[in-house]
Amino acid sequence: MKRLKALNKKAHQFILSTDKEGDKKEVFAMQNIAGCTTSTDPGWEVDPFGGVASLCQPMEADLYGCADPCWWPAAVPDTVNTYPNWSKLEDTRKNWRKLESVFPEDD
Amino acid sequence: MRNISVQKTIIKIVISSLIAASLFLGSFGFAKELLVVGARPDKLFIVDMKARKVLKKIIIPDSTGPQTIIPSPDGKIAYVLTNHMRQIVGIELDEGKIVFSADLDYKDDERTWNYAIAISPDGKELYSYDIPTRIHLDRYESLEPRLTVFKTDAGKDAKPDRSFAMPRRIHLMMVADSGALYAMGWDFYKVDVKTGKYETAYPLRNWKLKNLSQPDALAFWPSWDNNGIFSTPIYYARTDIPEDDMSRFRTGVLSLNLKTEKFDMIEFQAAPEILFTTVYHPDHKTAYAAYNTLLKIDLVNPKTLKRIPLEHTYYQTNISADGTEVYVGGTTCDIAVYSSKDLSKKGQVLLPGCPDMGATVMRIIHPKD
Amino acid sequence: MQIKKTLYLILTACLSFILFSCSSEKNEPKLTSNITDEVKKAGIELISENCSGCHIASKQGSFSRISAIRKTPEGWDMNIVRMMIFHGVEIEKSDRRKLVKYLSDTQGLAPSETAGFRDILERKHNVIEPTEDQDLMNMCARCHTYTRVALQRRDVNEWQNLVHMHLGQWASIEYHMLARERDWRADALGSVSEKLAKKYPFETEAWNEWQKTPWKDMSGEWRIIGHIAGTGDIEGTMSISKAQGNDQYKTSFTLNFPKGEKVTGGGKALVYSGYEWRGTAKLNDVKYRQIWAASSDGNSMKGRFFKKSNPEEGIEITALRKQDTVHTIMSVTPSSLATRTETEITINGINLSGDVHIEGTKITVKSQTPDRIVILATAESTPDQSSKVTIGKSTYDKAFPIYKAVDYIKITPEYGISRVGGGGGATAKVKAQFEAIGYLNGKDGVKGTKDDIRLGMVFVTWSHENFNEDAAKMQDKKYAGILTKRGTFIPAIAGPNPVRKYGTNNVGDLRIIAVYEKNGVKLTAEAHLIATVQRWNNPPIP
Repeated sequence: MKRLKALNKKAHQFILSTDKEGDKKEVFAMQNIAGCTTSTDPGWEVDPFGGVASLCQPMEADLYGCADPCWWPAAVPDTVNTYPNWSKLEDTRKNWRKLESVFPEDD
Repeated sequence: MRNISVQKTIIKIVISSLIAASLFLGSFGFAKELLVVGARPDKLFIVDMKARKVLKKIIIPDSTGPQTIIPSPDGKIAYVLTNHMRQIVGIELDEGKIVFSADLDYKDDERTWNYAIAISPDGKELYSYDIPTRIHLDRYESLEPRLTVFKTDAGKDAKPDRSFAMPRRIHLMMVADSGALYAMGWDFYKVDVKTGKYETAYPLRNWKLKNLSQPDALAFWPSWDNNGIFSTPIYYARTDIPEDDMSRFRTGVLSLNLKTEKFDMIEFQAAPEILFTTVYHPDHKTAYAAYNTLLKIDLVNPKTLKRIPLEHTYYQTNISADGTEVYVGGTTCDIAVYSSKDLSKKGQVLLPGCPDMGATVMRIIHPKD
Repeated sequence: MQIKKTLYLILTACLSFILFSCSSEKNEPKLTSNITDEVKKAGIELISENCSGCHIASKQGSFSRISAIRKTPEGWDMNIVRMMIFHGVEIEKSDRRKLVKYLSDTQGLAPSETAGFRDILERKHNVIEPTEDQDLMNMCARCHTYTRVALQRRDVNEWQNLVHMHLGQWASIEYHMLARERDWRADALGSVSEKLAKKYPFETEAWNEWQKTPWKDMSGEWRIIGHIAGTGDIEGTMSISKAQGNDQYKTSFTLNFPKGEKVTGGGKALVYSGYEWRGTAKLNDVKYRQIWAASSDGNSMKGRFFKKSNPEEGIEITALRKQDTVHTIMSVTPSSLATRTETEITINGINLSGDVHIEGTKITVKSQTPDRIVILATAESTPDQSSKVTIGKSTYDKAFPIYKAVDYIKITPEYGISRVGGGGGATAKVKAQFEAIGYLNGKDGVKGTKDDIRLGMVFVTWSHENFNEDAAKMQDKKYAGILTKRGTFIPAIAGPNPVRKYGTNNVGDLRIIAVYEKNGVKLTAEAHLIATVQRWNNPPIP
């Protein structure tokens, strides 16, 4: 946890890891719970400060802002190629219940 | 009951005539500024921000989630990126008619999407930054990105006029008053649209600024409509400050003056918050930045002058031509209006039906006769 | 290549036949042949029917792309679903199952190849993956688990094909943070593909050997022990009988949950790749799933038994085949003993017989069967160190600490997440389970050193607080959910909450606090919980 928090704080500086020559001298390290995105710009589960206060508020405000340009495709269906018809919702804050979970489980 | 409904109808007629009239006036004769913004899945709105009124809703046929919008220099046509980043549709704003359409997937075996569009100062050429992938029967083949040039008079099945190879990872393009095309990616490139030759105009990944790490600046939002300045938040670390000191991480505003073609980088605060976009005041003395907070930034004596929490997340900031009102939009269906002086809330415009703006952009046009 | 493979299959078939014929020894699992010619023929036909429209078939029965990859059953299933979603391939449900089965059996992973990556496969959601290579983590695990990558085997050109697919499918892949600062495409196609091909190549000794290992008949009587985090230990028995072929089984369970709760039920299971046990069962009318791995001798299984509706709620189990020759202690509950108090201890195992002995304790046997012995134990000495449990000739393979007082407690996981759900939306709430573990400082008297002794789960009082000032300002504690007496965090419902600042979701950044109090000793531990938003894409390997 110690490592995680320390790194999360740093995470705000998205690029700090690489030196200005462009060589990757220190590799930026941010650990997270398996399967949560570490692309914290601004993050899906966790924000660059390791919390949730800097995520999009509310998530539904950001949903298509990330689904349409394919931002966190492992967690949010991307509408560019993979799930073009995921949903054509209007007013997601009101209609979020209509959104479907996409993986068709076999059982 | 009947009377009420008749009354309502009359009101409706009056309102629509007013809308038509104001649009007409806006287009012909009066230098009115109008805000153009997209919304999911197929909408384009024209808004009179000062009047807090949505003047017009245009339906983009067969559209899903409009993203970037490029107005023609005369403010009469909006070129909209839509349909999963692979179609550019030109819409004549007075009538809502489609006058241009380019399918970026124009090669049968390719899947292509766009990451940036710009228009020449004479409005005759569109520049599209496209990322293609060749789809083989049983595999994909990622290809090199290209700058595709379309003639804006190419009609509804526009084919490229010419295309050139480009570096990867470009996310925003803009044209200077001189006609020079600038493309922002790993570095800021200046592109010759005749030859496709490009050179680094401002190094980012390769910048040599003393004691500064490689910066991060991911800009998708046009910010120059009312100030002539492209600007974006930029983040980096001060390598001369110890790693455990949080003040090491800094926020600046990176800008390109589209008249003088001069770049500037102004550091104004540490990095206490996420900011998606900035916009310069037309006087170039202050700037505004937004995401979950709205900031007023002093560019002369660089510092954050004021910070207020917004009502929800907004992606984009914009500003009125007279510099009095700051607009924040993107994400949901409201554009909020703040005083540029003290960031007090002055009002808002709700897009009818509350469709999400998502990743679309707000552009300000000044329709001329 | 192809000739080699064919030869190899013939060899495997012969070998299994020989082994099969010899294995008649009593108590040993019966051996069954692996892939028969008929199965192989049917498998090739199945692929041909469903996939050959795009994947080019060779005369030898290989298919372009498909035949150059090895995966787990979950990996193959995700692959087939990808074809359905990306390319609109219509595959019948039954064909999807058969394809996953055939591909996992013929192009699966050996037990040693999955060994380090079973947590995610078993649907544990609160784990931090081992960072063996930060560059690969940044390249791959910034979007999905590293497990998804590490449970595939490809040669360099196939790893490159996978990179090309990513570039052609996910429009922003080069623009995300942790990608945009590098030439992602060049790195992914270059050094990363090469590294992956070295780490996870298509052909391995492990898989070659495993294919030669005859599959075991899993039917028989089994003994199960397990642990439910925050609640306690379980034990019981499982009967496995053959249902069909050499890999389909019926199961029935008789289990004892903590506090004397009897749980019974039954179900079915299918074994993939000769050891990947996947089962479904109803226990007291609750639907459960099993993702277990069998040992190569077919005499033990390990994995998770979890609720179908809430995979985060589950039991970590170990199952051993009951054999006449085996006398073994499988678990001791509780797993340590405090001095001064007479404590009831349950010892579970197989064929337990003889005197019970725990170094330094006085014991009275309350009941004794070959499966289970219940004793009352009182520690006579206070060694503050590990003791041993023996029954007749069997010695428990884990240490059994006897202690005066717990020195400190720790919460697991130290960092966890829960996800909002329900509220009329498509996804269920994902809870977070915390558990407090007691420890001794060990010989050096220093907390957190190697010689510390784990005492096992301790009962604590749970509470939660705002993690920091930001969380307090947002009133996260008030909105994000509740923490039960057993350390289960139940998140609030999904959707924007109009009464919150920003109208935001019921998310929160929380501090989980455990307080342990016994004999005047008060110990506290903290953990961090991110109570966050839901995922809309929920494949078996996230």
